[in-house]
Order: sequence, then C-alpha cells, then structure tokens
Amino acid sequence: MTESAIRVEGVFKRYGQNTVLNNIDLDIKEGEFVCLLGPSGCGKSTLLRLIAGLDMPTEGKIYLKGKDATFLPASKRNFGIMFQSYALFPNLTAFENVAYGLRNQKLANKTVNEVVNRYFAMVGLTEARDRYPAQLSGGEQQRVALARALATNPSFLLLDEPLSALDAKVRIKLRREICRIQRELELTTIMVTHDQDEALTMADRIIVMNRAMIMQSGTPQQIYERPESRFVADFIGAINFYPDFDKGGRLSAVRPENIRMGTEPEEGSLCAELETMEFRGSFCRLTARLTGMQRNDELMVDLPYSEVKQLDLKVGGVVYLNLPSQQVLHFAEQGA
Amino acid sequence: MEGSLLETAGAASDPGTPVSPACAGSGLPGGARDRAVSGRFDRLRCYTGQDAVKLVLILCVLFGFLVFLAGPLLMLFIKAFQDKSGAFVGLTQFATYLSSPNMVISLTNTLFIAVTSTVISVTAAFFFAYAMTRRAVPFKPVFRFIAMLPMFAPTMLLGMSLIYLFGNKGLVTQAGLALPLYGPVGIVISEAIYGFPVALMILTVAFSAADNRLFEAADVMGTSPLRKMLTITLPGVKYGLINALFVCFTYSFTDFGAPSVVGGNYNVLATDIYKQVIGQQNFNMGAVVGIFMMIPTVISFAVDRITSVRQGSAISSKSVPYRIKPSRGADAAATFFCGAVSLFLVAFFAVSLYGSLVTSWPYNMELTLAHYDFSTVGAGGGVESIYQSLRVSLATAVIGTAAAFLTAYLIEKLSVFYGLRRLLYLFSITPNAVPGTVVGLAYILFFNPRTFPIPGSGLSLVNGFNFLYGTTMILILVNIVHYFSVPFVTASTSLKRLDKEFETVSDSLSVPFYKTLFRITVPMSFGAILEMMVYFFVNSMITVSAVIFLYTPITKLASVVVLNVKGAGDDAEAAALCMVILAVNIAVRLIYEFVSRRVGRRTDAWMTRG
Repeated sequence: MTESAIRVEGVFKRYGQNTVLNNIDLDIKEGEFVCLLGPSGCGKSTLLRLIAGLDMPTEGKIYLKGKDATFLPASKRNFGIMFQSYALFPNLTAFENVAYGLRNQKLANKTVNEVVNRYFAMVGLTEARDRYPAQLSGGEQQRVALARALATNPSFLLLDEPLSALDAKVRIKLRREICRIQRELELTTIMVTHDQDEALTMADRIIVMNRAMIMQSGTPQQIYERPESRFVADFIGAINFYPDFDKGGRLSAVRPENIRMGTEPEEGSLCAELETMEFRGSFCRLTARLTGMQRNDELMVDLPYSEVKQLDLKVGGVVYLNLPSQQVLHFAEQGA
Repeated sequence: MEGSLLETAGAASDPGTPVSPACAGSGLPGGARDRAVSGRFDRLRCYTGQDAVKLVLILCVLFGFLVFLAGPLLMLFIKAFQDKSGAFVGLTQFATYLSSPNMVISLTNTLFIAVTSTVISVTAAFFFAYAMTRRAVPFKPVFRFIAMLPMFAPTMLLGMSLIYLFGNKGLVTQAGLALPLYGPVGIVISEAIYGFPVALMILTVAFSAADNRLFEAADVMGTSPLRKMLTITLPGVKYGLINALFVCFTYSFTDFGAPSVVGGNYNVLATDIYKQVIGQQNFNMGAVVGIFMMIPTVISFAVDRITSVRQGSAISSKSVPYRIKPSRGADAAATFFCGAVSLFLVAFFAVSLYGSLVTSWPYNMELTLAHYDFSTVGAGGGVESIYQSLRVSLATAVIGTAAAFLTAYLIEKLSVFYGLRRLLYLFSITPNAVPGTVVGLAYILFFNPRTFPIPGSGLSLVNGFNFLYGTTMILILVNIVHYFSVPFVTASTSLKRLDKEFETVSDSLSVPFYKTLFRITVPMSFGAILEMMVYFFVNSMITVSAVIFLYTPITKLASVVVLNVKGAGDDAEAAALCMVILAVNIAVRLIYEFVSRRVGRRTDAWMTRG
C-alpha cells in the first residue's frame, strides 16, 4: 500500500450544537489534485482549515505523510496556501512578498534571489518584481501569491477559492497555469471551490460535500456521469429528474445533452411539445413538455446549434425525444 | 469527550477488533502511542512555543489591567460601603449622601449643567458638521482647525477667557453688559465650548457616511429638500447624534477644570469629590460621590456600544460618496455660520492670550512678557512643571500607545485563548465609563495604603505597589488608564481593516507571529499609531481631573499649577501657562499633520489600486 500524503480519519468538527464536519474520511495520494466542491456552508473550508492546522478537529485524526498531525501547529506542517483575497502584504514589493518565508530561513541573499526569480519565472511574472501589490492586477496578485506559496518548497498546497475574485478570462487562464505548475512540481494540492467548472477542469479527483458530509468522491468523469445521489447529480451540471414508473417510481435522471431529439417518431420515442428555446452560443437549451402517458413533465434538452437549424425547430412545434437507456441514471430514492 | 475521541480513533484504525484505549495506540502510526497515555492533554499539544509567548503577553496585559484598573476600582467600591474606621456599613454612606441637602443640590446642579451645555454644543456642532460635509463652504481646513482648538487647551482656559470677558473687571462687563458669570452661566458656556469639538468629530463622521445614490433616487422622484432632510439626512446621522449627545453629556458631567475656575459657590459632583477627599479627607464619602458620578457615564457607555454597532451597518461598501451640489443661499448661510462660530472661538482664545500679555488687567493694559517668566510662578516650580508635563505626556504617549496597540493586536489578531481575549476587551473599553476624578480617587485608595487589612483576621496584606505612590510614574500610569479606550478603539479599527489571512499566510510560511507584527502589521498601522500618540499626548497635557489627586510638589504638572496659580489670584500667569500648554499641543498637532501626510502618501500607495 502506498502511503497517502494526507489522510483524514473520522473527523468531526462541532461548534457547540452545530456540527460543521460529520465523520469525514479522506485519503489523498502524493501528487494528487483534489477539489473540495460544495455549496457555501457545507464545511469544505473548515476541512481545509483543519488540514492546514488553523483549527483543530473535535474528534478524529489527520495524518500527513503517515504521521499523526492532528494537533501539529500550522507552522510545522509545511504547506503553501492561497486565498481568494490574495492576502499579499501591501507594504512589501512583489519580490519581498515571495521572499517573506525564505528570509525567515536565514538564507543568503543570493540564494533568496535565485529562488524568488525561479518562481517568478514559473508563474510568468518576471517584470512585476519591484512593484507593490496595489500596483498589480488581480490576476498578477494571485500569481505573486502562488509564487509565495511555492517558494518555501511546501509538501502540499492549499487553495481556498483562489480564483473567485477574478474576471472570467483571467480565471480560465490562471486555472491552466495552476494545473500546469501543479503537474510540473507533482505537488499534492487541495482546492476549495463552489465553482463546478473549476472543479471539473482542474481536479484529478472531486470530493462533493453537502451539509457537513462527503456525498461522493471520484474523478470528474465519474462524478459527472455516475452521480450517486440526487444532490450530486443536481449540483454538478444540468439534469432532468423524473420518477421512472417502469421501475416502481424510482427516481431517475438524464442529462439534457444525452437526450436525442427528432421531428419524426422513432422506436420508443416520447412525443413532446417544444416550449422554449434558449440560445447559448454553440448549443441551444430547449424545454419540451411531454404529452400523453403518465408523464406530464418538462425536460431540458441541449442540442448543438447546427442541429437546431438543421431540424428547423420552432417553439410550439411537436418533437420526439429519445432517452438512451445506458445514459439514464437510477437512484435508490423514490421520485416525487 | 477525550475518551470518545480515543475510541473513535481506535475503531477507525482497526475496524472489527474491539480495542481498549490503552492499547489502541500501538496499532497506530507515528506519535499516536503517547496519545493513548496522555489523551486528555491532546488539546494542549496544539499549543506551540509561540503560543506560550502569546500567552505571556496576554497575561502581562491582563496583569496591568488588574493592578492599574480593576484593583483601584474595586478599592473604590469597597470604600463606598465602609465607614472611616474601615467597618462595613452597607448603604449607610449612600443614605447619608442622599439625605444631605447640599449633596442633592450638587447632583441636580451637575445634571442641569450637563444637559444645558450638551444641548448647546451638539446643536452648534450639528450645523457646523452639516456645513462642513454637505455644503460648499470655503476655507474648510481653517474652520476645522479652529473648531478643534478647545481640545488642545485645559478647560481652565475656557473659564479664564470668560472671566476676562464677563468677570467683574471683564471687557464686556466694563462695556456695560453684566452677566452673572460665576456659577451655572460660566460653567455651561465653558462646557459647551469644551464639548463642541468632540460632538463635531462624531457628527462629521456621521454626516460623511452618506450614500449619494439615495439622494439621486430622491431627486429622480422629485423630492423636496425638506423631505430629503427628514427622510434621508436625519435618519442617516441618527446614531451619530445620539452618540454625540451622550459623549458631550459625559464630558461636562465629569469635568473638573471649568467648575473649579468659574464655579464660584455653585457645587458640582466633580468638585464635590475633590472637596470631600482633599478638603475633608473623607475618602469614603468621596467614593460614594464617585459611584454616583459613574451612573450616567456607564449609561452613556452602554448607549455608545449599542449605537456604534448599528452605525457600522448603516453604510455598505457599495455606497457612493455624497457629492455636494452648490446652492447659493444655503452655502452662504453655512459659511456665515461656520465663520461666526470660528470667530467666536478665536476671539475667546485671543482674549486669554491678550490677558496673559497685559501688565495688570484692567488697570495697566501695556503689553509685557513678564507673566511668561514662570520662574516665580507656583512657588518657583512653574518652569519645572512645564518640563514635567512634557515628560509625562511624552511617556504617556509612547507607553500608552504601545500598550493600547499591543492590547488591540492581541485581541484582534490572535486565534487562541478566546476567553482571556474577551476579558482584555472588556477591560480595554471600561475606562470610557470611568470619569477622571473617579480614577484619581481610586488610585489614591489603592496605591496610598502601605497595607490592606484583611477583614476579620486581624492580618494585613502588604501593598506591593505602594512604592509607585507620589512618583511621576503613577501620573503616567493614571493617564494611560484614564485615556486608554479611545486609542484602543483606533488601533482595533485599524487592525480590523487588515486582511485577517496575513497571520495565516505567515503561519504557513513558518514565520513567527512577532516578525509579521513588526514587518507588516505595525507599518500598515502607522497612521493609527501616530493618531493614538497625539491623543495620549494632548490629553495628558491638559488633564487635571485624575492627576489632581496624585501629584506631589515635586511631580507637579503645568495644568495643576494653572489651578494653583489661579487659586492664588495670579490670573495672568495662569493664562500664560495655559497658552504655553495650548501652544505645545498645537505644535504637536501640526507636526502630526505634517508627518501623517507624508506617511499617508506612502500608505496610500499600498492601499489604493494603481
């Protein structure tokens, strides 16, 4: 068995009556990029703080590289951290921010210079060295924060919603940069986010949390294609829920892009009326109201725009839907 | 709790096998073994050497509060329930106090003075603040500076000016307009002027926090100016107004300087305490008066706490600052009002300056600098008292600022020892509710006795702090404690503005907290630190209320000498000494403005986006 980089065992965190983390177990491999994903208040940030040593669990254990670190203070855990607010020291230049941890290690000036320059080059910010954080853009500031987190050669990296404060374009660019650097350094990384796109594009593994518990853990594909609960299916991507009466009314679901749509009836297809069409650039989101049978539901369908044009779909027109059985998800719960 | 923690850990590592807590450790990796032995000390292991340093710092500050605030106040409360011999007499002293007609008169007198002067100063400050923030008035910095003048002078100076104007030989009196100066009129005018700058500061802040979008929305809907005033402006400054009322009330309710100069036979509580303690040596009755004095200050303090919380939430980060729209009539009226108030204040201070410069008021009005030769003043200690004031004020500024900043830092920026930090906070804001004379009296009661008898045992406790009594150090300490709350709040506010993750980041980089404190936190708070120092300095220069109980002939301060000299009838010398104090404070303030502007330029570069 390979030793896990970070192991969380049966961790509870309570504030008085309020349980913020409820029996959390977690194993993170060396070099893995894990995203903690969930709605606000689900406990993901608290879990990150426990792993960082900024807070102590009420119950349970945390191991770092196999060693019990439950009560190890943050300063001895050797991690790098990035925040949504960047938290750069405003009175120090970008250079001095990155050098902050190194200076404390009593390294020679020359060594500090070398290390800082190496990380500036890595995050692509060589020309910003002597500027103060206030003179840098949000994206640049977050790059400095990344360089600062990496400069002390941490054994793991913690990212607390690092991209949430940035513009959409900068965010996507920085996503790639962080992933590239993370793979280059093979650095064990945990990122907290409430943005599913971020989690899906960046993570090796996503851990979906809700109400103080882990709902599911898996690769982005597993989480998206095989969600194990209604919550996970609903939280990530768009999905149609319906009770499957062939299976005794069990809750079933299908993603809108997996429904096939045509203007002619096919074997097993459902007849529906097209209610709305929403243009979304490369594709259209359509809603279709099923007619006849027991189901009188609306279904969302995503169709490439080219196909919409080809079929010459109009609101109010009659369409036929096909739900491919291998794409339909079945849950243990009853559908309402 | 700890037991269940162990069971969970054991069960998780080896499911299926029931293990006793004692041997659970052997199956676990790393340092788990000793945990099995010392399970209940788990919680302690999350503390580091640095946490020990933090704890020591917290305990040091706590010790300071216990000895220099809680101890003296406790002593005051004990004395109020004892008679002169030290026997417990319950509420007898209070009953005696309330049944004495003179005492009740001074209580009603004090209330009358406080209410009247508060109404006057808050009304004037309200219009002044409105003019300064919402109207296009020229020379705003000049008006603002003049309005601040009363903060830089001992309140005795206000009384002196009144005497030069309305006294028996006053300028106005001699011109034919007699005013019954000595008594309520004189005190009310002095206190109104004394409270004006504070009310102005509070109301200026309240008026500045306006959201222009509300006014624009009102304009779009065609709202009349009166309605805008009643529905937007007034509700916006409501809490500031309440706060200003209470602060002014406390100021004049507890002031000692003005009543002692122009009070005549009109008794107020602050002078009562002094008479009880210094005149009749009745410390117990002094303590009773002190407790009566604290009733309104404690109420005012509570109101301030409540309003400051609400005021904070009144304006959001999305608010748009108010843009002044010129309006000829209103602007002219506002300018006239500010001009009139400023002229009045300048004249008020000028008359004392003039009084200090003429040979013998009103007989020989030739100008002379003779009264500024302090070598003959105050039994020859005049010059020395100025140096003493400078020394004490400087020391108060430096030590007080360091103490208040450290306390605020420990409360705001640490994440351990929550309970102790709450306690520190409580102590830090308490001085706001304790009048200066009460602090002074409490200090005598606590530091003067060589021993404290332990009731019923016949034993006594040696007072280890008695050595401070009669020293310069005790004057510095009493000033720090008396004026602690405002600079403390300044420091807290400044620290709250800093990103709370700075500490987390330095933790993750393994940088000890004190390095981050000195390299990041202190430089970032430099503006606040300067402001705190000036506050401590200026107030230590002018204060008499607390130190009047604690000075000795050797440690006499200039403000105390003013009172002595005035009492001896040397008005011109007293005025001259007040002028020196005023000049020093103005100079310090100007230096502050200069330095903070330079520092401001630097910190602005850090704070604003380029």
